Amino acid sequence: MSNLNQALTARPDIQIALSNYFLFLAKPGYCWHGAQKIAIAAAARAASTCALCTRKKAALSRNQIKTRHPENDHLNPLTVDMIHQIITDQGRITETQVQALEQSGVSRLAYAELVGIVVCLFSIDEFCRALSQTLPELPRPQPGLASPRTPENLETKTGFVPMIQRDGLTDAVKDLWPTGFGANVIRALSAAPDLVRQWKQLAAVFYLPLEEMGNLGQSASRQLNRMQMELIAGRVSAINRCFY
Amino acid sequence: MLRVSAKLAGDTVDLTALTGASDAKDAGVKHGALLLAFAEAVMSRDSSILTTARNALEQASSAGIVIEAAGVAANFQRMVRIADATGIPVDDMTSELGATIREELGLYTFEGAANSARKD
Repeated sequence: MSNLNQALTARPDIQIALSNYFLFLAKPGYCWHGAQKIAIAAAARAASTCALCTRKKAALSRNQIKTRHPENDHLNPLTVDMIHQIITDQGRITETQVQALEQSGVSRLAYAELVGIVVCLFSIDEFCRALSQTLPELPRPQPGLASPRTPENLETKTGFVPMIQRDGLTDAVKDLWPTGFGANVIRALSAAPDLVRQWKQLAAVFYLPLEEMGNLGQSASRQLNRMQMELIAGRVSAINRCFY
Repeated sequence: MLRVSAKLAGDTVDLTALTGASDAKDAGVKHGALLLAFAEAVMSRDSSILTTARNALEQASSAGIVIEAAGVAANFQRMVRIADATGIPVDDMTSELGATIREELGLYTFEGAANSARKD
């Protein structure tokens, strides 16, 4: 066993978080049923090696390339296009596109859920790629219908999607963020609370638990100190042209 | 966060390292050059560059640190996509420190800056 594989076995928390995500992925969600969620994840995975995305990314305007990604049994072409863009050209996503998606039948609540599915899967895949590990197989979907459950106290003035007000946590979602916290990036997916829970779980093993964010020194559970973590975070974010 | 964590540790960091423009290769951080090279290698999607950077980091530190570094890179691949896909603005655009750093690093040229300007 290589040193990396040995080190991975010393981090069972990572394996648990990944397994939990794939169990979650297979189940019916708020607006997407299991097979649709798997289709979203598969499209997200395919985007990383998509030749059409490379052409669109290189174009001065994405509209110069009229070709669309092919639809599949579960997702319309506009949805597949958006999933690919979240992976390969996220900086140029506009509210106009989200409106167009809405007109194609994907509500903003469904879009928030879709974003969550895509980014969690991508984060897991990136972790595996960084270590040259085989990507985990996508699960088989569980049967059942999606069950829309809209959280209370949504507001629509912050971004492209509805999100729970900073001080609007009810008992059903009180675990999403600590009182008085609620940064926009935490709230962004809160219209689909389970996706916030999933990304928090991944963040806790890949980076730090939310509760430890305020510790800017050395976490007892990590070998990297906070400066080293933030150096990596900052470089990755800069290459991604992340303003946030 | 990098500047604040460095200040708390009594260190000085070269933030221009984040944009790839630093002459101080380690940016004032232990294993900084290797961590930066690894982050860039992850983003490059070139398996040869990635293997070289990963091996160099492991030899200088440990396999456990490589795992953690991969996790941090993967985490921030997710965060930018949440922010840009949902169009959220920066939480506090009025902070003087934040404004100085954004100016210093040239972040106002990033496409996502429009989402924060839009909400002013």
